Amino acid sequence: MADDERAAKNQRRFAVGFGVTDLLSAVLLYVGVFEGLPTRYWLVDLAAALTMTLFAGAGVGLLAKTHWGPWVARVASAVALALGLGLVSTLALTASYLSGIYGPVGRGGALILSLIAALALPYLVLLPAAQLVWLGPWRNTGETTGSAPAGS
Amino acid sequence: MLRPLLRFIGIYFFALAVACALVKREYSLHPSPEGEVIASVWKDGILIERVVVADKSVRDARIEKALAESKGELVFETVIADSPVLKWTELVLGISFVPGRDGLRARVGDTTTYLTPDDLLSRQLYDHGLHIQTLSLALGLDTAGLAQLLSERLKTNPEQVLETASLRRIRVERHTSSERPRITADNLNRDEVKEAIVAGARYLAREVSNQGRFRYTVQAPANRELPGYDWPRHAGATYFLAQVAGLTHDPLLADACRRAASLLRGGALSSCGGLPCVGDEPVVALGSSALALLAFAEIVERNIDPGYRAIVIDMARFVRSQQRPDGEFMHDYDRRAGRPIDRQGLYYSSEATLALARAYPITQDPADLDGAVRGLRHLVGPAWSFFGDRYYFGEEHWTCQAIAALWPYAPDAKALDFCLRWQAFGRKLQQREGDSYFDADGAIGVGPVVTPRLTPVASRCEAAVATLDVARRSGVSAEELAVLDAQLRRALALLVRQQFRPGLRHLFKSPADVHGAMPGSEVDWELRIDYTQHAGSAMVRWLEVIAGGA
Repeated sequence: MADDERAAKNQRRFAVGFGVTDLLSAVLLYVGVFEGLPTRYWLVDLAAALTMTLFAGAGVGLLAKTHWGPWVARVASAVALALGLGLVSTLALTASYLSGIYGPVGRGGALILSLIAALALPYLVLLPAAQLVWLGPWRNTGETTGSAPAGS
Repeated sequence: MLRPLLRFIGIYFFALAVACALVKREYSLHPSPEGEVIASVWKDGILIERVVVADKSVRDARIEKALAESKGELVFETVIADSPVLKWTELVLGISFVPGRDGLRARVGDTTTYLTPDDLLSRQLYDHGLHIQTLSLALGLDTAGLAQLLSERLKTNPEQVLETASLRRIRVERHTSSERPRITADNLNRDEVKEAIVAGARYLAREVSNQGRFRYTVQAPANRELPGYDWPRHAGATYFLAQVAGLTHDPLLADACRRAASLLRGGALSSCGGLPCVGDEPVVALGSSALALLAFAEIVERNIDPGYRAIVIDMARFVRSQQRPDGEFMHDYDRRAGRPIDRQGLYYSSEATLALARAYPITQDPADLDGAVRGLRHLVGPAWSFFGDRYYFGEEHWTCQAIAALWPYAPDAKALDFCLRWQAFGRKLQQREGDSYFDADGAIGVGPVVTPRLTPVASRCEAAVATLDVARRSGVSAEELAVLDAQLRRALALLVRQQFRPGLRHLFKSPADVHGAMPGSEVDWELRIDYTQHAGSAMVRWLEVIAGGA
């Protein structure tokens, strides 16, 4: 019984931790894309808006212990992971292309792009991957599953 | 869940690394040991004839005929390497060519044509692609212009030519009859710098009309004036003409200087609260008057026209009237309301400080000296005080000139320390030979795909000369003087190399008209008057105070 309580407490701590991180990621995405980028490009804006909304939903859901919170967190993590890997691929391939075209000076550009990739990695690859691991396998039960706690 | 995910991510990164290696190898230049030689005859910036030959010794009848008939210049461009390029998207295509170095080979069916760097420079297509207004940056080829040029050569529709043509990037080496030895920091000398100064001043002198107005911006290949005008830059160019007229005693330069100055003192002059100021708009900017004061002071000091002494005194009063008690300047004056507007932008505070410092020996008014001293204290104190101010510096380049102008009357060790740190920061940004495909040594670059601009180099040189001058007089260590001197020489050598003396004259409609001008960059051949002024003023001061007099 005590073990169950301890496990439930641990799970709650994880839920709060991931919930807060999801909310921070949503804010960071908003600041980075909608305040930081100098021009608007619908492809980037759409992807950022979608991910931001999902992260915000996941954060609220996990913190408020809703039954849909873990489900939204899974979707948010999967989408963010896909976008994150896509972003890393695009940046890495662009850096390689520039390095091919511009030779030595391309190394500077490659470094900048690698730095951007490194900055994006924690939020768009590591965080969603860790959250997916915590949430466990995706089962069609209609309830939260795996190691994650029930929402209510 | 953990293991499959880690496996997936591991496989992903491995595949990505392989893909990156393949992309880099594919799109790097592949040497062409027996590459084509593109022989072109150019006359007045127009391509008269072009033939592709196996090597330079082969004389083609068409080339001989074109040379005989046009009296043009024969230029060889040898393809030394090539690589594929991505055509999607246009942005990617645009950044797929190193500016000034790469051209392209295009094939449609059995027809092959070449767009060489000379073709692309002649049309000014490099660095005219993507414009990022917020960063004041333009990079990549202008792909619309590229399509137009390509369609003219291939006689096809410009809207489809980029889709239908097969494109390869080519790297070429150019050989012309007007090549001159490369100027470097090691072989830079006083004679070379003096020639550069005189050529620059004569260029600006030719650009001043009888009414005293400059051709403000000129597109060099077509020798066409572009729209726009600016009084601070007019004043700056006048200041440079005064410097060189004083240095050379050339009457043509002195005349041009007087014409430009008389417009500043005449048609451009207004009244701001009973004092003279430059600009006829309802709200005038302090910078116009500050730089006009600088030019007038130079004209008096160099004895070009002592009659400007009176306006130096009056305009110094106007500049002082814009100063706040803490030393900062109010940058605008509302002529309708008859009062200053306390708002600030870039440069004007330091321009005003320098102008007062230069006016003081003429006016002998202690208030001018006091204004300059307080302005300088503010510039190197509260104006540059924030978290991280030891690690970041801006483009502002007048402050250090003000320090040198004030040093005989009010030496300021804190200000010198500021300038030495500013120069150290600039040294970190300065590129070296081999850092890029561009003419890099001494340049200040902002990224891998943007050609370094020359004006930031020139304005930093003006400040570096002033800093080195003061540092020499104030016991700064020999090691620090040596690195500062080397930094300055590398930057000056770049400016001397890039000045149009004569430049790629075969690409200019009128080479004589643009001789001596300083371009915006190695590939941006818009000639604005301040580009030549900043470079020229730096060289004048280097010649006078560093290289042991004129």
